[in-house]
Amino acid sequence: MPEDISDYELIKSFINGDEASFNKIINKYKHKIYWHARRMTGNHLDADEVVQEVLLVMYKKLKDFQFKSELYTWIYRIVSTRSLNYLRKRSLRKVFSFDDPSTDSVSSNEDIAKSLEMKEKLDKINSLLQKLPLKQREVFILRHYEELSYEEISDLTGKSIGGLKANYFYGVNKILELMKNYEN
Amino acid sequence: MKIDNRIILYLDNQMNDEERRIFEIELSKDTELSKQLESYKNFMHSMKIDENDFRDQEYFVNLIPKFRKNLSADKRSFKIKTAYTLTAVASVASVVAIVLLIFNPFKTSENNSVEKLISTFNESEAVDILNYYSDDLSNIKTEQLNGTSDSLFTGLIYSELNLQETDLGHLISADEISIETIYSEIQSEEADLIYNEILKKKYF
Repeated sequence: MPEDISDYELIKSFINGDEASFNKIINKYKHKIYWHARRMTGNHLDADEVVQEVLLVMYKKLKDFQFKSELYTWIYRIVSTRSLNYLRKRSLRKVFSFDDPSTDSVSSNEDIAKSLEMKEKLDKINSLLQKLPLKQREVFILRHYEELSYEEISDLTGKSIGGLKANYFYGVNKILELMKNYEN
Repeated sequence: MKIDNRIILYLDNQMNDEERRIFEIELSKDTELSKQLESYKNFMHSMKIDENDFRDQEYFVNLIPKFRKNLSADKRSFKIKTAYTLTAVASVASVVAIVLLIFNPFKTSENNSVEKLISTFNESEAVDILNYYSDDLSNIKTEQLNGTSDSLFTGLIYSELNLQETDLGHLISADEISIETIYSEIQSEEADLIYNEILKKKYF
């Protein structure tokens, strides 16, 4: 896929009826969408559900995109929102479910990581992230993994920069504390 | 892992220029602090994975076909849901229409027909009808006028004499005038005049 086709041209082309342009947009951002959803939800199957939801939303709403922000900011906003909604629904399901919690989706064999070493590393990272409160988790992921500036994160989440910095600071401290307990 | 909090702020660019300058001077002199900084950097690096290792994974190759399949299913589901919704709305509207036709809660037709009938009377026909019912009218008791009854005749009297609700009752009780006395002292010409005026205003 040629890299010089801008997001603007792809979106315009899609709005004019070119479905292939939407596929190109997916190809350009699918890894970012997946990994953000994966880090928020903690496992592959839940991340996949979120990804499919996000793609549907993008397909329906892209014609309303106003170019007031970068496309990737708009996409991250959708991923974050959908992930948070999914996590809240998941929490409710756990409260009202009579299923054995040890057989939940986290223990599924279906995963993007094929080697055992990679699987263990992903599981360790995910378990640390899942122990963070949602607000701290979201900021930590966007800052540490997506390397967005606080201004971009503020634009994306609607939260104040000061609050985001505080959430990041406490999130890092929490992870360090969890690592210390893990090593002990 | 014990980490000085300033390390987190320093690597996250949360220090201003002055704070950064002071911290860097301290780092250069404090080996323990430098070790903590390196340890923290290594730890944060270990929290990342190289996403390029997964670029060619089957999951990402099949992502678009899976999305297109879900999109078709979503469009079909939307059409079915729309059809069900329209059917439900049409059913409710039909039931409401049938109920209105059968029970007719508004009942304006009856009133409309009475008004139409009255509007067809000429003067002599209207007088004949009022004379026919005059016995009934004269039998109205004062108590009925004294109260807050909204009978048609009470409304006529109040309106013609420009009275408030309690005025007539007060008038009658204060002056000990009975309504029958009022009726009996009206001359026939006066009565005709009153009837004609009432007819003109068409209180019915």
